[in-house]
Amino acid sequence: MAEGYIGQAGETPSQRYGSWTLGLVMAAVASVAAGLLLATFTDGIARPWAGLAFVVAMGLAIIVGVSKTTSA
Amino acid sequence: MIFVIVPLGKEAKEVRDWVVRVAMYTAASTLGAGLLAMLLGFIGHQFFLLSGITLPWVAGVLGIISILYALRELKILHLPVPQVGWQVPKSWMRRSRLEGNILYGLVLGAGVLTFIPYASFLVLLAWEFVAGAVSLKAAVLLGMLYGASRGLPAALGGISVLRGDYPLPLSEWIIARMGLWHAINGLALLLIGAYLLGSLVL
Repeated sequence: MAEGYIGQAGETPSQRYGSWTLGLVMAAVASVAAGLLLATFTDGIARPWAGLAFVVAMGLAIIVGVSKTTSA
Repeated sequence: MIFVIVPLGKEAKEVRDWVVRVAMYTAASTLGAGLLAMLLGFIGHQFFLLSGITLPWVAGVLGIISILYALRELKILHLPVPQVGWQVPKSWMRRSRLEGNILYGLVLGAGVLTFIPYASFLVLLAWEFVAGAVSLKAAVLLGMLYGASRGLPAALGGISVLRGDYPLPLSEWIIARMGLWHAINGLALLLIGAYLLGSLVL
């Protein structure tokens, strides 16, 4: 399955996997950090969809938002 | 999208023009997404009031949907993504670029009328619907966060211009890695699905 995603942009496989890993890690870290920060500011809202659930949803919102910029 | 927002130059006036238009595009995108989230949250609130359905049930359904769409994003399962697929018209830019960017931001921020390349967007909308049952503020905040994230690549494109780069490589970089974006979305949906289903069991 992974082969379906590589072979793009003229990079070597190691570079491709490197950028994959970096992208995944950065997206996850940024999502969780932003989620935790915002969850702190909005403490108490959306229970029981607050706390960790809300952090997860925020991460999803960021990932979808950034990804969707490839479309118009 | 980057080419619509970013002026291809570095003169002071162009930079100022770019900053204003990127800021307005991002603000409009945040507003559009926030308004849609408010509508979904309001409908969700009424739905849960009238139907009497409890949140754990919905968490389970949303968890299953998340995992199914994760398998779609990872190219394991073929599932349709319901969408209108409309494209914002270029004519909106004719009268005023600023006005056009604001309109683009509002429509693209809401996101339901245009192309939906990632199924995770539908999961996010469902989440806003459910979150509204408990707190309309939570639903709106999620929508605004999504909308603000949509302005990020326009800012990146502008920064690449300020650094003396032509933004085409950035645009190509994004498009050439569609597989990566799908993989990230698939991974996020898997985690979310596991989390939602796990919350029912644990």
